[in-house]
Amino acid sequence: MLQLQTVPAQRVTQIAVLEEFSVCLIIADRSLISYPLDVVAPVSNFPAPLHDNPRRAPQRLAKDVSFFAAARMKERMLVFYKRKEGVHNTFFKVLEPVFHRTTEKKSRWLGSSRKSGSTESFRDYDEFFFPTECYSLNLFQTYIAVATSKGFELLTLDKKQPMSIPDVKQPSIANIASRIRDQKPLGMFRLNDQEFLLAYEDCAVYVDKHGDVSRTLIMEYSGKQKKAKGATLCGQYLVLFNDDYVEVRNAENGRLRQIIAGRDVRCLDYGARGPTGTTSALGGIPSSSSGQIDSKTTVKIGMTHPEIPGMQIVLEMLLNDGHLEK
Amino acid sequence: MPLLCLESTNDDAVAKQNRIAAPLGRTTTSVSDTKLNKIATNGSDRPGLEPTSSATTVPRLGQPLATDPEGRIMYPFRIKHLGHDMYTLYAPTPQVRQDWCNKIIEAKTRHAKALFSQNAEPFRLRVLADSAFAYDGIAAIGKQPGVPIEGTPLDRAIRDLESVYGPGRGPPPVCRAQVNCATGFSAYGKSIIAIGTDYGVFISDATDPRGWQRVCLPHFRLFSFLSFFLLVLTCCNYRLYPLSASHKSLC
Repeated sequence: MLQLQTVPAQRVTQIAVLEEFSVCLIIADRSLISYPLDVVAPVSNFPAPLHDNPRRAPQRLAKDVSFFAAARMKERMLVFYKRKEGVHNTFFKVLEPVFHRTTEKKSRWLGSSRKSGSTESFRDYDEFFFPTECYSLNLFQTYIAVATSKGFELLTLDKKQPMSIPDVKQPSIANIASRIRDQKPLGMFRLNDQEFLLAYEDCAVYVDKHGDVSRTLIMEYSGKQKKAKGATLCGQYLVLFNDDYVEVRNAENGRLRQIIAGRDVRCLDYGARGPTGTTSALGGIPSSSSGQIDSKTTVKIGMTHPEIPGMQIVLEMLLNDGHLEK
Repeated sequence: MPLLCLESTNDDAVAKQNRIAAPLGRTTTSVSDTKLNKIATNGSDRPGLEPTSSATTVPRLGQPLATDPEGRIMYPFRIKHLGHDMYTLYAPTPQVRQDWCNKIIEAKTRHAKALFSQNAEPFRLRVLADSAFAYDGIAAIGKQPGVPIEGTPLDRAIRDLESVYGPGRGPPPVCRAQVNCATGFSAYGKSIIAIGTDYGVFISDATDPRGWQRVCLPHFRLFSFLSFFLLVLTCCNYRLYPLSASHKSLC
């Protein structure tokens, strides 16, 4: 019998799994596609029989998508994706995955086109627009932090009134304002109930929960000529990425804690608290204290294999047990 | 110290000529003084570092050359100050260069050991894939390995892998394309890692860094099965592909 395993997706630039909905979201050739999880991770090595195909059909959610972020906001799992329209305009669309309970005896949550041809595993939930270039999203309980070419913008889906943070017009933070001017923002991270860290490509600054600068301190990174290309928070550490190394700083006091040198270094997975949202267990900290490594929440990196020419090596970063912060 | 990396130890020797001494000299003299000083201070508090630095004279602009005709050949090695500049230093003989590189590697190795013994680094690394993803032919150019340092978290991760699978290279790569993204999830009680590349998606059990397999993702585009001709027509990337239905697996 014919197995329908057709021409596969090609250039895959982002991947995430929404476990509770049993879907895998992929950006392939700039299309955002939802695959049933058992297509990506088959139960066994034997492909499912052909009659399963309608359920296993992938669904293209959008074209021309540069990135997405998924997180639980106010008890709802939401998927945000960025659609670029024109040179300077950015549209964000918000989808909500919905449980799709079929009456068939093999009930599955998601992904079928049995309802008059239209798949309803994701529904349009909301959308918003920025008249600037946008790089990434950080999703919090109600707020969305958008990294744009003009800095960080904070908004809620209820009001959609963007607020620029920090307020660079305040004279008291003139030195911070001049330092972060024209710097590409990389991400906004929650340190605790009171404070957030705004990471830019050259430095990071602290703000309170209202978006006002909370410390006069500017956290400077090591590289003077190499700017950070990505940032995430893992445990109590700010992790920064560029081509040549991973830089680990104590997020609380800014001290340099570790350098992982390599070539062609890339962040492959920003982990649980990165700019792409929290798709799996909320706020989990990767640790092996229980003896069990949970790769769901770890930061994963790729680089040139240090010993084998022409090879890439993929690694995950695990927090050391009993590491003492001095 | 963690920001200084030995980038190359065996670059081709260069001949110093009076005519081109100026550009060569400029690149080195602008940086070499500070760099050499830095290395010398690192060495001074380490008994293992012999003061071979006196032998390693870096050629300068206008330095007299007439004394030693052999001195026209210089042996470069490169040091990268991460996030800053790359410095090319020149040694007068291969042996001197080797000594320098060995001392730098020794210093870096001791540093890595010290960090490990103090548990000073927050993160350790675990290899998820070491032999599955190669660069494609063009991308591989310029992606040569650097100078590995023993005892770093990266080195320890690779040695951990070797302790399970034995030394040497793993199985041949399953993919020759840039690795772009990764995620971890559980399915059917197993912990699984998925990696997205320029050539589709690959998965492996989280505990099996050498078990990578390509995922055959059905395309979301149109397909049609012409039973009479035993032919499947698929539309992918705006092209129509005929696929023989006699193939059990078409990926």
